[in-house]
Amino acid sequence: MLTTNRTTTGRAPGSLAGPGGPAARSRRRVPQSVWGFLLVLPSLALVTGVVLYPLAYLLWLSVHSKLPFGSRLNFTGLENFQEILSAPEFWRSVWLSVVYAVGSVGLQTVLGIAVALLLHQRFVGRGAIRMISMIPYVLPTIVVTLVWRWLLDVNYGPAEYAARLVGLTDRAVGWMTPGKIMLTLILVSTWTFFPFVMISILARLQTINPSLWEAGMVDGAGAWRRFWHITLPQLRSVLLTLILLRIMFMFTKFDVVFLFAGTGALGENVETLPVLTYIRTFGEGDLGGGAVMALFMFALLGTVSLIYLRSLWREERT
Amino acid sequence: MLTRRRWRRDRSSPLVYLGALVVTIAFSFPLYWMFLTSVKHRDEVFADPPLFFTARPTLDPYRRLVESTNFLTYLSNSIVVAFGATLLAVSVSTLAAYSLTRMRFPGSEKVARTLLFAYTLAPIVIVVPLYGLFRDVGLTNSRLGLVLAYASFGVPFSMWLLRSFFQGIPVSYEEAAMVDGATRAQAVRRVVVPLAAPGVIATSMFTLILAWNDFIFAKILIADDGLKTLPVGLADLFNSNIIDWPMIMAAAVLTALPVLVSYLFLQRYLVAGWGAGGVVG
Repeated sequence: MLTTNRTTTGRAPGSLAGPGGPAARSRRRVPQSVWGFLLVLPSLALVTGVVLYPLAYLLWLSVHSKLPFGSRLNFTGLENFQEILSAPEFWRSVWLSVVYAVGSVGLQTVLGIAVALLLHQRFVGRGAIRMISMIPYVLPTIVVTLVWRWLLDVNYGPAEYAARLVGLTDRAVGWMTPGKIMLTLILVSTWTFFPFVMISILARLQTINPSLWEAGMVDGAGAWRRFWHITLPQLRSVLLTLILLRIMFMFTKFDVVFLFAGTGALGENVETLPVLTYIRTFGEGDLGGGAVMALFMFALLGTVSLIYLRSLWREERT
Repeated sequence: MLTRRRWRRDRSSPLVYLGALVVTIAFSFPLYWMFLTSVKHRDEVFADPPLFFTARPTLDPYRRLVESTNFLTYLSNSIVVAFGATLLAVSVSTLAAYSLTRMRFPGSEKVARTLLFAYTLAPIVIVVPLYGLFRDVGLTNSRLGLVLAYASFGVPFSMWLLRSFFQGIPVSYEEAAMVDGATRAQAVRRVVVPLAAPGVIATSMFTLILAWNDFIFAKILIADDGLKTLPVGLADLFNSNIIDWPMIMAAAVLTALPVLVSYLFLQRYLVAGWGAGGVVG
């Protein structure tokens, strides 16, 4: 999945600054290592200021009193942790996040494999379809959620009409009702995020040696058996990484959930951890509690990404 | 599935075309419906059964959008913030990526790792403490604050993407130019920059999309209606009393258009970036 070209990986071009090189011509040169650091500095400053320092501040907030921003905060030790970890609404939101993440990643994976296999075939119009199927990924989330709410509208939406037409039901399906909203949210999220899974799988498929399938055909294996015994084992490592990372990202996804169903009467049914964190922190002004939940997600994200990055680095170094 | 057994290189089974048809409809119909609603006449919008075409196209929803809402303000805020953030993120991360692929300094490996780690963090985690910090230094309710937030959030990914593009440019090209008497700066300008251009375009696209599409940072950091960006402005329009669907869809069309058009034109760069960027998204 990482098509990194390794022509120069990690190799410092010593000759560029070496004594025999053109660099030697000018005197009082700033050493290359200083230059190297200076060039990285602006990026490092931005990331430190806006991403890393806030993390430290988050840690600080989590052990201080539960008040809105702007108040004087008192040290309260682990009180916030105790309160949050024993709150049923916290565990309920964790459960909803798990349902949402596992459900949508499962669907994304199945659809991703299916469409990637389709686009791996040669047929007229393949390029156009590949282009169309990646559009959801670039669409702003607000556009996706507004369009789907309109498509699924109980009175005027074409989705209800189609369901009636097919004879699925003679009454309204009611996509936006408390009982179905989680399922609907999962379907819409799958529509939005599956292109990424699809394109990653397609990239891997294209590196599989076609002679493997040809050998399978010669042996008389049908399409299904070729998929099961040849294609799938080749996709295994890519799928494992994808599923792990996607679950982590869906677990901490805020905007789709919040914009599609997070406000109003339906909100309670999709109150995943990111949504609850938002409500706690900015709605109820409970900084300490919000910080604890944010930390919980950070711990989860951090662990998974460290495992992933570690393997990535090892792979890159070899 | 049986037809697949006789599958030949140049001929595809009807099943493939059926699948292609389903995929096409699933991904283009929502866009069609969005556009159609935005040009439908009021009476047609609430027809039962729904109308899949329009006999009386009108631009009235667009007129309502521009005249009765703050849409143009949101639009200009979005443009300023997205381009500002992209310019900042791409320029600083180009420097960083060049350094990380061409130069060595103590701890350079650590820097690369730290940046990459930052790239896997979710906005919801950061936005809780970031609001407090920005509030203390007066960066809430300011477009500069948003630019800084998007740029910083975009840097790790931009840097990572550009790094892989730079790795694809052989150092020997620069060395050759310098043997021929070019200074390092000249070598970079004449050799590296042209070769890295596709990578810079792809990276800019990604950052632009990130900033243009973001909802959560803008929602939390901006309170003034006059400073809101499109996603937050649209969410407000939707949540206000009576939903004017044609007008909402007109707003959606105009918000999606810039990213759709640039996607169509710069698709191949984007796909290259997708391949190089790994699995985060």
